[in-house]
Amino acid sequence: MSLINASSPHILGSNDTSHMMRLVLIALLPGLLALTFFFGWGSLINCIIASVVALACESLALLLRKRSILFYLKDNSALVTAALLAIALPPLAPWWIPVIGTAFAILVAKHLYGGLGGNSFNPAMVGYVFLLISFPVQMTSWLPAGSPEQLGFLETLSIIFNNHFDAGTLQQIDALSGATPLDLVKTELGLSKTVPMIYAFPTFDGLLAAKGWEWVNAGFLLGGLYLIYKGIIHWQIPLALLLTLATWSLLYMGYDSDRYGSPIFHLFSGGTMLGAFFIATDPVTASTSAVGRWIYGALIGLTIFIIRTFGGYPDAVAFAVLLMNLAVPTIDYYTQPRSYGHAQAKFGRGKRER
Amino acid sequence: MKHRVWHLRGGIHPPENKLQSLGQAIRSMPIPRYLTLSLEQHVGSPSSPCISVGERVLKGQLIAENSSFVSATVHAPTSGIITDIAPQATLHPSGIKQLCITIESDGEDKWVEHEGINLFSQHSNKELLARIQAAGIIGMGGAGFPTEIKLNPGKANPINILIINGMECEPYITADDALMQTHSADIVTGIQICAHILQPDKILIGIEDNKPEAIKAMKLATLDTGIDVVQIPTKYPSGGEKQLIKILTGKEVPTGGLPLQVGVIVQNIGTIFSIFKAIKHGEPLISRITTLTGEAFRKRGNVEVLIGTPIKDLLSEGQADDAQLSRVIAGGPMMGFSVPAKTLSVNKTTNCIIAATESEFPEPAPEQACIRCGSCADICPVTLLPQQLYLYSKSQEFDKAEQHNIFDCIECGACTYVCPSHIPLVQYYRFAKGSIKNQREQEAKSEQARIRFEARQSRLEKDALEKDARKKARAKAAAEKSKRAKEKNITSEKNTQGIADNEIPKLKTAVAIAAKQAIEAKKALALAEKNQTENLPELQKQVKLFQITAMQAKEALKKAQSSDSASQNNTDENALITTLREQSAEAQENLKRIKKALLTAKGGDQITISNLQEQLKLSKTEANGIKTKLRAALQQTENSEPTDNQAGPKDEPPIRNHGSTEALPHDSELTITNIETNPITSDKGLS
Repeated sequence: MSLINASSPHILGSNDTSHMMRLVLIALLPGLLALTFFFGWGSLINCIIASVVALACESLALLLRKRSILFYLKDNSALVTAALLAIALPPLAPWWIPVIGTAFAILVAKHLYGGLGGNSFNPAMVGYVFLLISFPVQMTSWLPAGSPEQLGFLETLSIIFNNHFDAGTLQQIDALSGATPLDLVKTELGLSKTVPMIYAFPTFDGLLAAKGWEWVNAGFLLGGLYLIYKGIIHWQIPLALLLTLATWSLLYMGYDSDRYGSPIFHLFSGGTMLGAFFIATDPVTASTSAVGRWIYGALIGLTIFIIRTFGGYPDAVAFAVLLMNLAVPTIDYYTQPRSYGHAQAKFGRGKRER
Repeated sequence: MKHRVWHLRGGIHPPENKLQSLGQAIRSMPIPRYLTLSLEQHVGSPSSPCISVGERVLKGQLIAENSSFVSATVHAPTSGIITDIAPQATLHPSGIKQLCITIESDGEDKWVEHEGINLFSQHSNKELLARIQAAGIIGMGGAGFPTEIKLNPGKANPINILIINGMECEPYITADDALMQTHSADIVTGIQICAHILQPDKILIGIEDNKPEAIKAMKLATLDTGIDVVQIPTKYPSGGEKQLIKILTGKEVPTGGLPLQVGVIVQNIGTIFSIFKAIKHGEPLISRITTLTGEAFRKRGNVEVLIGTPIKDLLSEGQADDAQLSRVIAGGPMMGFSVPAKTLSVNKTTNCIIAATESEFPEPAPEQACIRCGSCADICPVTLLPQQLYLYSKSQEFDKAEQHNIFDCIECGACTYVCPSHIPLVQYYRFAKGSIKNQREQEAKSEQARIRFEARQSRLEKDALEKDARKKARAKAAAEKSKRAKEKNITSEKNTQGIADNEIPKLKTAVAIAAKQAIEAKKALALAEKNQTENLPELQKQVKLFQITAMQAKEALKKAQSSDSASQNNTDENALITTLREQSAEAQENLKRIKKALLTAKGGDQITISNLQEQLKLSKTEANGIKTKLRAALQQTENSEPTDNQAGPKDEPPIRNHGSTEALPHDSELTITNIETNPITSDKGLS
């Protein structure tokens, strides 16, 4: 029997990309459950639609790129993109919203850039921003959390698939949906109400922040901690992001508590936790050095605060992440760590210099 | 006192798989029939054989000696006959062919005469180092650097800490572990020999805590010796030299530098044991402890192996299951290399042979895309960014790879081990390193070629300048000589005054006129060079004047020729010859100038060129006329006063005929290239 000639090392660890992606999907479950509990079946249905479309688009792209379809589908990365995008969508968004968004995310944001590992921008967030800009009405109609007249599974399904053809459903949606708490604060502040006055609204009937939303965020926080525990994501990015967001909101609240929301409100509203633990930590598009992760996370946190407080959009996770994706190559360039035997790190020095 | 242990960043904990080969005594094995010893198993220049084919050698006899300062001796591991000295494939990652000596053992295993020393402390460093060198000891942990050089860092590098590397952090390998368990006292003696040579302040033995038996044995053996046994948490690759230095001293060896720069020397357990044997018993390095392990072996364990033993003998010693065997590894599973053929032989650095089955070391899964998860960066013991290095290596952006310190990579394989996408990262780095080295070699080569070319150019330029200077010097010397001759003429004139009253003034006038004309022609030509077309009529005039001069000179010559008395005419003729020579030289120079002007006028209009060509011809005729006169004058004086000066430049073709300007054929077809490539063409037109 001839001997195998192979390069060292001859043993490999048990790490596996597909497994890592699977763990990310598992870690999304608590947040998804909270979403379903407070906002109905919509998010779950969105997830299913997006997953099917993602797998189909991934297969198509792999076919066009002449890659082994089954081998690459198994890495589960398309499913993670689909899930992240679907979770960010309004629960009652018409069916074509997740379809278009996912197709754009997989085909344009991922495969046009070279597939998994080659994309500079987080595909799920590219899909989300694409939808937000193209279909602002559909993308901002959220259901109130835990509304008494919650829709059943079939009802939700029929709304999602029929709402554009049936005047009755459209009316129903109009009656049901409204602004998210972040949107509400922005609008009401514009109507010269103060933050404490807004907090008195029934929307903010929760323990810490807005009703339902605090639990959704708590769910994602839990999932994120699980991922850190499992070593799938690095803790620096979420910590830096949350700390920065909390610090800035605290500073502004201290300056004028009538006009600026509290840190708790910021941390537990909108997509903060989802962004901090699942979106900003997407390894492909995040900074790769330890120091770089701190900077990257902090800059996202700052951008979220700025856009939420002074910008035109109620939430800002997608924009903040995409903007900082742009900064990643520069951050990486300046945060190269000091290697063994070197007096100092090489960051920012010329390529040729030694 | 417990020695402080510094933290080593990164690292991994692969399954240790050490127990399989532990638990039994180190066994010896039958002497193999053939032993093949590479002469290049160490760092440095290959050793040179000092025996010949067919010669009988004894065990421990020197068979190859040092060929340079950095080299190592090789000894016969057993007694027998030298059957071959030829290049053979060797146990090397590349399977490279190296010069090898093959010995057919005679089975007697008869030792050459050898003697150790009992009290090494009474011997000088020089003698101890010489003995270590003579024993052919090299670093047996894997590097293979000649030990006596390492033990002789020089006075400029005082060694504070001597570290003994008993880490053996690679999975599977237990050779050092077994040696420490069974030969702890000998190892301590070996350490003391090194300490005697180096005189360090501190001696530390670093052992990973997964070897409790070895730690126990070494602690016992080092009681009251001042040697510190330090237990270090098990982590791969803590046993790397630089990593161990960091763990035990907190210091980092500067990049590209040596441990002695931080006052540290690290020696491997196996090396220490060989030093002990060389000093105490006078035995050269002819055997080592090698671990036989892996699932395909039925009889695992540590074996004392003669250097040069073929792998197939080891496989049969360990009763390897040939049907199960899929991969043979020399070294550990993390950094060892796969053995391409069972016929290759063990060398001084082979610490382990793994006979692995397919299920033990399965084929790696296909490579997936890098998702930049950073697992590799988290565990890199050198704090590199392996994911970036991979990116740059794959895209062949080698300058960026270098900027990310690719040459600090120790190829420990930890990054490949943890990579979730199963990317063979180390292979990418090896590719990049090799490419960069090749590139540098190419650059160095072309740089050398450039320097050589420039040197040649400057040499040629210098030669040309010197040639020019010599020419000028010759011309100057000639001019001075003629001046002296003139002065001489004046004095001789005084003597001969009255004898040739009529002749001398006439000739003198002719000479003066000729000289004047020559100068004027020269000036005109200089002008012509400046403004090539405008001064043409004037130039023609000059040429005519020149012709007149020539006629006058001719007349003078005739007169001189018709003179009866040779002695009377002697001085006059001398003067005449000198003048004619001067004229000739001048005419030659004019010729050259016109030629040059012609060449510079290449780009000019056709009229200018043809005019200049005409001038050239005229001047040539002139010059030739003067020359002929000169020759005639010389012939005239030859009998009475032979001169050492030969008339005219030697390379001038002989003139057979000289005619007037009018008689010249107008060679309008004469081209510039003709002049350039064949200066004689115009002369042909003349003749």
